[in-house]
Amino acid sequence: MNDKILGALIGAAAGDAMASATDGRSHGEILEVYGEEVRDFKRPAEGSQSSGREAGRFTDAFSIPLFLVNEILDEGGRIDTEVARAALKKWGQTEYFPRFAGMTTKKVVNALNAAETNDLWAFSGHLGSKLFKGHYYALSSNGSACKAFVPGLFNPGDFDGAVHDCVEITMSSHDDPLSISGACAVSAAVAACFEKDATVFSVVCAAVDGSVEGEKAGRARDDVWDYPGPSTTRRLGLAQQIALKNAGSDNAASELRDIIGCGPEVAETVPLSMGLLIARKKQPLEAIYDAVNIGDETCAAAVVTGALTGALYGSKVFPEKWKETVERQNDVELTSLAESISMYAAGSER
Amino acid sequence: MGAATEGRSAEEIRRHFNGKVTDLIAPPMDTFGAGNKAGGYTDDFSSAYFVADEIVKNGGVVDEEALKRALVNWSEHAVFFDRFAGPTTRLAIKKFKGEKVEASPGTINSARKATNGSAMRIAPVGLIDAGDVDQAIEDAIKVSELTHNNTLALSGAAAVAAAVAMAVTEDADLYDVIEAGVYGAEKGEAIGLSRKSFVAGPSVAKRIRLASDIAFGGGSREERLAEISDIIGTGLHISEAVPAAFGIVAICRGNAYDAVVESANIGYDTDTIGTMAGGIAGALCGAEVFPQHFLPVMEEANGLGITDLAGRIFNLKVRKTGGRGNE
Repeated sequence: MNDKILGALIGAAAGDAMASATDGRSHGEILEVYGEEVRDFKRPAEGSQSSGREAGRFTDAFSIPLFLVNEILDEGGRIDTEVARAALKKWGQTEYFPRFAGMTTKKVVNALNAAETNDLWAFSGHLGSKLFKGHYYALSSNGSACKAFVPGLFNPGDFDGAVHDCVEITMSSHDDPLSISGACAVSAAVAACFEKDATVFSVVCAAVDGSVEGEKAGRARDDVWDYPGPSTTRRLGLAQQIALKNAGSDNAASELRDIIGCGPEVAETVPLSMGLLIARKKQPLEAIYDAVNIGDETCAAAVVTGALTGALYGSKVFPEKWKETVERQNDVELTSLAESISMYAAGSER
Repeated sequence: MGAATEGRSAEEIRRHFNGKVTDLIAPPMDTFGAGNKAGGYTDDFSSAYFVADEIVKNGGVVDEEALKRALVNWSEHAVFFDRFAGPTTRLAIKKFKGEKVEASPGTINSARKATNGSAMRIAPVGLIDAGDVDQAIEDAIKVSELTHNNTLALSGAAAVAAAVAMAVTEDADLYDVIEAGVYGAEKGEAIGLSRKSFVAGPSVAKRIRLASDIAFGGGSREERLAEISDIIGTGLHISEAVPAAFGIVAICRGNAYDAVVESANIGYDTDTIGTMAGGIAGALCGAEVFPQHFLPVMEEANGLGITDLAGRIFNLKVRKTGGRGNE
């Protein structure tokens, strides 16, 4: 079994669980509410989206990819849009859905559930345009990126496979070229972590190339929406500039937060996470703590940062407590899950 | 002009309209603006007009009662409010009117209220406080906190009001205007933080600086405009729309007609960006740059007198300073 697969699962799971205490708050508010930075699993404070839940529980950010992994395994390793939709539909029947469903995913799950009674035009909403479906605030959102480490794990070292499978998965919920671009950046970067001699630089290069190829693949389709929005590719360039200017210092996180942002846009979450990975090259865990404390949509950033950290450095980079806590609190078994992924992923390994 | 293009990407605008939109045209059926005549406003300038009108009637004094009157009065004009008002503004006005507001299920995420509605109606405040950047910032905050009481929304509104207050002075050039914008954004943010109106999100001030780096950086005009869209972003978020407006004004060298045209063609929240960029650049370069038919077409389509409002703001300034206002 490839330890990097287990590493990615632990990093993503623990990142989400730790960030469940901070998600939605600003950096200043996190310090005010908890009296210090959150660097452990904490019970989410009152007024959090996760309030009332135990320390170490997942939100949508890791539970959606978890359902996706299980569905792919149930389907014998098959990865396509249909499998990804089936996973989302199952996730939509759990306790996670009413509390956590994001602006894009909520509409998609409702549409999947109503598929028997609704036609496409009703789903499309006012004037038949998806623009009016309530996610106008961030048309290309980070739900696409949270689950994108999954196709990366199933395609270790295989850039083309990682992009191809990620396009299929992203189309299940985020059917526009900019979402696909952001998601493919993550998938390609995770796949690149499995290359021999992978470095932070080679991983970020794969992210840039993945964002370009993903956008191209998205634009070549005729079943996508052409949304306006900022470019993950261009902002990956900016994130590298900011990270290099501030490498190793605590300013890196605040500059990435102030200039790139960590909101619901995929073109914030993905470049920000890559920037943290670069700036914290010498202290990998700090990248995850930064994501947890950076403010706004911390769960999404912590899932992406955690998956990349684990896939690049392996499971030993994390304190043992992380795996134990998330397994106990969420009733999952990450080692056997990683072993199952390994069986299907091995074939495509270079 | 942006009413016709809002919600589309830059490429999609060029495809749909066979090139750039450069005139006032009726919006197509699949946009928010559908049903408007050519030159008809959306929520952006219409709410700016009502706010400015009420402040002028109040002798140039910005106070809470006058502002609430302005917003409630605006909200009763269904042609603007019912069709266009954004979520943050809509909720605030319901509360002013004493209507019951349903508690929303789940957690209130203040970060999603850091929207550009605060800045879209603020340019006239800079005219009323012409030449007094600090007063403009203070008044911008009074206007914005009624509907968008969070650090970032206050920062964005203060940036635009400060830039206009500077732009309208006789000696100001484009550098002064951008500096005033950054100053306003920083001061507005500091005031918000001092009140602990916490909100998560990227910084308006740092993104205005980045937009200025792009504007004065390399590449053709079209390439730099694309960078504004790709790197800064042109959406609803205050930290996209306001810095994008500053970037466009700078790329267009302060020419207000060019700034309005490029805003309309940049994609996403084009009407809001256009009203801010046009307000800032117009205050800097004056009315002569616009095609002659713009003013009569807009006055006719909306039934709101721009010339009359400009005259009343000017007279207010003359009374205040006891002499001539700024030409």
